[in-house]
Amino acid sequence: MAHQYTGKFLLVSILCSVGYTSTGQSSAYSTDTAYVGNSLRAGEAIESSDAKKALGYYQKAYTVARRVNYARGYFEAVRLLAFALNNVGRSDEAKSIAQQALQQANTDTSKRYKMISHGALAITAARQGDLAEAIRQYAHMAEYVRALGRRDNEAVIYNNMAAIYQRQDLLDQAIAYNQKALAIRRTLPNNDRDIASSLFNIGAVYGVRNNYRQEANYTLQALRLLKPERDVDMVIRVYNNLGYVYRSTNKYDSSFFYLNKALVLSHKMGASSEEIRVLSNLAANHLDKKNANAARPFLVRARAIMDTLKPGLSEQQSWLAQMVDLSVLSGDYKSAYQWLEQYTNNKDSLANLSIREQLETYDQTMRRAEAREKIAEKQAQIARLEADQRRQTMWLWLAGMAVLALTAGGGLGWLYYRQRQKTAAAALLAAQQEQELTAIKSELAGQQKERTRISKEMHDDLGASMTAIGLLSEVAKTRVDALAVPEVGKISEISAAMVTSMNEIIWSLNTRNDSLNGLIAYIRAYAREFIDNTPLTLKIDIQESPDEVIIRGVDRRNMFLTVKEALNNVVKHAQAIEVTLRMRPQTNPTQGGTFHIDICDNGRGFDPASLAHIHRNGLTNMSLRMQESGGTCNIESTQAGTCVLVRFPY
Amino acid sequence: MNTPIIVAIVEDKDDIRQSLAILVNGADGFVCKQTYVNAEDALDDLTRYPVDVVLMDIDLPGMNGIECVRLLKPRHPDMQFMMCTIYDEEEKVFEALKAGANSFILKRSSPARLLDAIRELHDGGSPMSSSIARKVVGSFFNVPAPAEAERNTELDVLTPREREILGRLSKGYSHKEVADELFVSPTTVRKHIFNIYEKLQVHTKVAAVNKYLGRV
Repeated sequence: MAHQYTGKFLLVSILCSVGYTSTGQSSAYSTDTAYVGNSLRAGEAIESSDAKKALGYYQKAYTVARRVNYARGYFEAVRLLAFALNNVGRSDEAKSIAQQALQQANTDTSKRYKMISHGALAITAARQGDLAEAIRQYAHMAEYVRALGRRDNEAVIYNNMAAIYQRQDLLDQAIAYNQKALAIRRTLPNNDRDIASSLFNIGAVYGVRNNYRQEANYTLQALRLLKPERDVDMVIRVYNNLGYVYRSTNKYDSSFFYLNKALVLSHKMGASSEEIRVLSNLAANHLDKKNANAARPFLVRARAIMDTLKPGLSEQQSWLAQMVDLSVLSGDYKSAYQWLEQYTNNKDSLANLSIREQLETYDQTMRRAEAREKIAEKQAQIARLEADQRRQTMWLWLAGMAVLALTAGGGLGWLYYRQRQKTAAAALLAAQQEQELTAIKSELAGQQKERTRISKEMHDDLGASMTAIGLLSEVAKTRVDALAVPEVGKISEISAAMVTSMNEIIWSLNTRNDSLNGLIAYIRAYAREFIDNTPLTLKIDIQESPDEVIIRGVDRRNMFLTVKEALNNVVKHAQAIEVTLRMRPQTNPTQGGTFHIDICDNGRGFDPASLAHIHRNGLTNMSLRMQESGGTCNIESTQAGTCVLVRFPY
Repeated sequence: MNTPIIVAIVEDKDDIRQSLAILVNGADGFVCKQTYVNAEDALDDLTRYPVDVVLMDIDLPGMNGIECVRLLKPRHPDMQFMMCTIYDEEEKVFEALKAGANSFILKRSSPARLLDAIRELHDGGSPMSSSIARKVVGSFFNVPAPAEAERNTELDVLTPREREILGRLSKGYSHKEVADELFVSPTTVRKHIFNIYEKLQVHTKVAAVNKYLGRV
């Protein structure tokens, strides 16, 4: 009993010491830092729903951090506070806070603090309309961001700068900076969405210049990178812009095509502001075609959405513009005038507003990226702590168990411990197995993806080039002098052969072709085409499988290549005048079956043993191929001819 | 000399588009003055200035070739579309046939064969591969119909001769084999196939309308 008591004491004392350490951390100083951190987080959590309240949190954090000289908290607070102050129109305060922060940062070595300070000054300057200053500040910020190695954030800054240039009508610079952002994004992995957004922006700038050809070009490039399920928000905007572009170039069919797609998507996703724009664009198309009756329902539908939620200025504008046109078209000039007046009143505030919206989106993107980084850091910390705790708990258990075991003289305690260990081991084993399974699964998925990628790339790049070579060499044949014709002919022949074998590889990679009857038809069609180009006669005798049987790509390929080789041998060596291709699936009574392919000719036959080495190789290859798929390939040869017998159990 | 066949080419890859145009223009009896790098331009221009035969690539930036055919065919039912693919992309070719194309060809086909195919399509003939034939059969058979009697009428859309041809093609018979077995010329076989494609288009539309009206 004494031992057990000691054991308990031991537990308590360790717990105490743990407890003590944790109390030790929450000194007066750390209470303040925790307070700063908590306030900032609380502010961030509600910023989008209650900006004023968030501002209050940031201000408290800012004051406390400054009082206790908590540098990290101070600069975080500056970052958030400047942003929030600007949002509620208190840019003067934001400016003085940011300037103080910059002074402070200049006394420190931290690049991050300088970056934050310049960033706060840049946002403020942009908000105050001092665009040249904003550009200067962003350029400083970009320097430090680059030094910190945050390429993604650097790209966002260039986006910001581009947007400001656009606002100043310096469109060349706007394009150049969007291109800079694009160049960076192209070097980062898994970045299709951001690349697409840069391409989209560049297109939009060209649109401002009425260069619709380039706008369409860049927007279509963006579209190619977007995934409909992941980037539905951007896809809607891309479709809508394409609708606009094609309307501007009088291609109404294409315009309607994209706008209808945008309408379906925006409606489905509940993206109301986009839906209003799409509806307005659709109405505009009909109005261009002087069809007021077709336009009206779209505008009514847009109005209905606008009544239920407060739309942004730009949505109102796109709607108002169509109302003007509609009234003019219906000869109602009084209403037209009223709508036009509303439109002009809104117009001035619009240019600034849309750019501001764009800037805010970028800033938020940057902040989200930073927040993600912080969260990942926090999670790693938590994981470490948990691991420590688990280790501690385990040691406690072990100690406790050991003591118990000693006191009770083994017995139950020991058994219990063993049992726990076993369960733990079993659980561990199960977890390991699961992990392995997941690993295998993900590897398989990866392989499948890789297969698709390779065949797609072969198809798109290699295939297109090979086809062009083939076509051009045919054209060249008629143009070069007679001496070079054989060489050019050879080029054309080789490129055609390459495309054919690529075609066969892609056929075998595609899982949609995995059926036995499909394979039978494919082999039959191949044999027919191949033999018809020779003096031989082909006889075909085929039974199809009554059931749907699935044959894997690798097996299909092995069987096809074996038949191909066999037919090739007949043509080259057999000196036959006739060849018969027999295919027949033989079903087992229980399940599965064997697929028979016989290729028989009436040629001179041969003695396998006396065959030249090089020909034996071809035969061995056929046999090896079928073995790889779990089948066989046998050759029976007499003076009356040769039969290649291919068997594949399924 | 008869009036030449007027051809248009829609293809985004410059090399291929230009080579095809050189080929077509260099041959007797063909003219190609309209080439397009994307479906949007083609849609607009071909609506206003139709041609006899359009060589249409399937994979185009933005709107693809199939969607373009779907919009153009109803406006100019006499304009024939030949889908050009690099490989046997059965799935896409089949979609295109349903959308209104009447022919397809692999870009690797020899120039002589390409020109023959254009002429043949112009004369109302089409080719069909075994896997496309399998899909066409499936499409006519697999329409979910409420009653057995109605399903039979679906199949009756095809004439017995067309069904014979389709059945053989789906088993991998060549056009010539089909022609020999049925004692007709390969040209006649191709004309039957052309009609099967036309019926497939109508059939696809009817199926879509039925689905829309909740009849399926």
